[in-house]
Amino acid sequence: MTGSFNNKNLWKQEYQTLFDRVPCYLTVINKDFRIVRANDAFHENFGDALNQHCYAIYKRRKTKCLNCPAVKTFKDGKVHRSHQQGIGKHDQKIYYVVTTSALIKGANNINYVIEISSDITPMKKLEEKVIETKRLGAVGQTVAGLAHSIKNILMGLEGGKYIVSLGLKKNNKEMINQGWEMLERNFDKTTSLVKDFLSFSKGRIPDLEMSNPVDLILEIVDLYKDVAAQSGIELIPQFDDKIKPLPFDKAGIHTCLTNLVSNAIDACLMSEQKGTKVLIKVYEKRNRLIIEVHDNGSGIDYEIKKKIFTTFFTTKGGGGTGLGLLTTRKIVEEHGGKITVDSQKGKGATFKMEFLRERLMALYKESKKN
Amino acid sequence: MSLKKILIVDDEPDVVAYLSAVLESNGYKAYSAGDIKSAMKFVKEILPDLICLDIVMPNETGISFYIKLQKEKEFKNIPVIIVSGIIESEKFNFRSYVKDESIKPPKCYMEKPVNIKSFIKNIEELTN
Repeated sequence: MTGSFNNKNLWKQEYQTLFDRVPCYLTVINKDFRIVRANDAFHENFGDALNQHCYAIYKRRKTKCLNCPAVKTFKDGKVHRSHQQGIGKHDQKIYYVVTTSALIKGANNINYVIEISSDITPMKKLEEKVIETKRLGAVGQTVAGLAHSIKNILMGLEGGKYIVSLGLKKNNKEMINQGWEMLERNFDKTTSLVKDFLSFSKGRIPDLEMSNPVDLILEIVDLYKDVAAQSGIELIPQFDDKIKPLPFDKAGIHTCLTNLVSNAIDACLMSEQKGTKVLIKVYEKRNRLIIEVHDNGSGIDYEIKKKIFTTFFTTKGGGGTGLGLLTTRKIVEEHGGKITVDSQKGKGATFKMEFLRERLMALYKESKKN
Repeated sequence: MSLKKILIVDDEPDVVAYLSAVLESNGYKAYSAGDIKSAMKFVKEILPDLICLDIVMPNETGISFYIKLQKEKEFKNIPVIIVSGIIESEKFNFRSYVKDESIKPPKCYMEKPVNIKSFIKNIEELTN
């Protein structure tokens, strides 16, 4: 073998085999982006390509690709890389990672660039399959959750009907009233469920307008102060006066806050301890707007915490639709933000919504353009 | 003759009201508990003739309550009807919830909304 390396012909043959059989697509392009050489793997998947523009062959484009790494290599002589999606000769989608490099290292004038493309189609397909499986799983879970809620409502309606008719048979007014209230309550639950479900399923773009989050916090406190006071819960707003207005969807964030504050009040009601309180805090930290809803109520255990933002789920029996936190997370994410929870069973909970000011401004500019 | 005592364990007040009305109008004495903690208290106090048990409840599930009952000599023979909306009756597989073979499955599973005739028929059969 050592001897073979001294033989130029063998060396050339070895290089040719390597060029053709390496498990990548190799092309050499000139300054005009025309393919001057391509390996067998490339020909097998993309067809005859010599003298044609690389973008025409890889992607059937008439102009250079966006984010083309070869453009950069021609310019600075450095190695560049990018993820691309092309079309094979049988019209099949081909996903590849292309690395471009000057054919002659260190040359002053770069006349040729080599494009080395690794086919990642099987990985991409697997990834798409995983996403699809997850999506179907989520749909299944949502449908199961919805069916569970509907069954409970149906049971309440059946119950109301049964008690009304029993009351009529016994001429018992109290029973008729009890049954009628059950019917009313369960009709209301149907309305809330449908409303929540629709608002959750809507893929809406947030309607951003410049507002002061402090005003919103005060509005929420005003809305809940009587309910909280009646149950002996202290509702405390806490905010930084210096917060400057920023763009957000007022109705959306209002929904998030009503979900979080009503949950916090419920958690206080479920707790056995005295002196329960709900704190709504808004402040800015490292260019992030942070809104926290903190309570010292019953807290959330680990198993439940794992699924509150992802599953159609309620611990409130007939009192909840199981969609509040799912919807909250969706709205927060539509604002480019994130929501987290910190809680321990019996020790209260803190829900934190974080929004990057820059991200909100970018979304705002984009929405104005449209 | 004293009335048979049925304990309804469910966190949904309307379900409790409904099943209580059905049971009482069919000659049973109904008791109710909205969570597992008070359910256990009732079981000890009244020793019911039968328990109607929901699965999905806050803090602790009906299944975990059922396991606790099965581990107590004096309560393991109380018949239990699971009344839940989480799965269709014919698909309910107790072993998917409880792997421990020493725990016997409950006597009956009924899907919400329950068919009242079958509900009363099951109660009669299991309490006689």
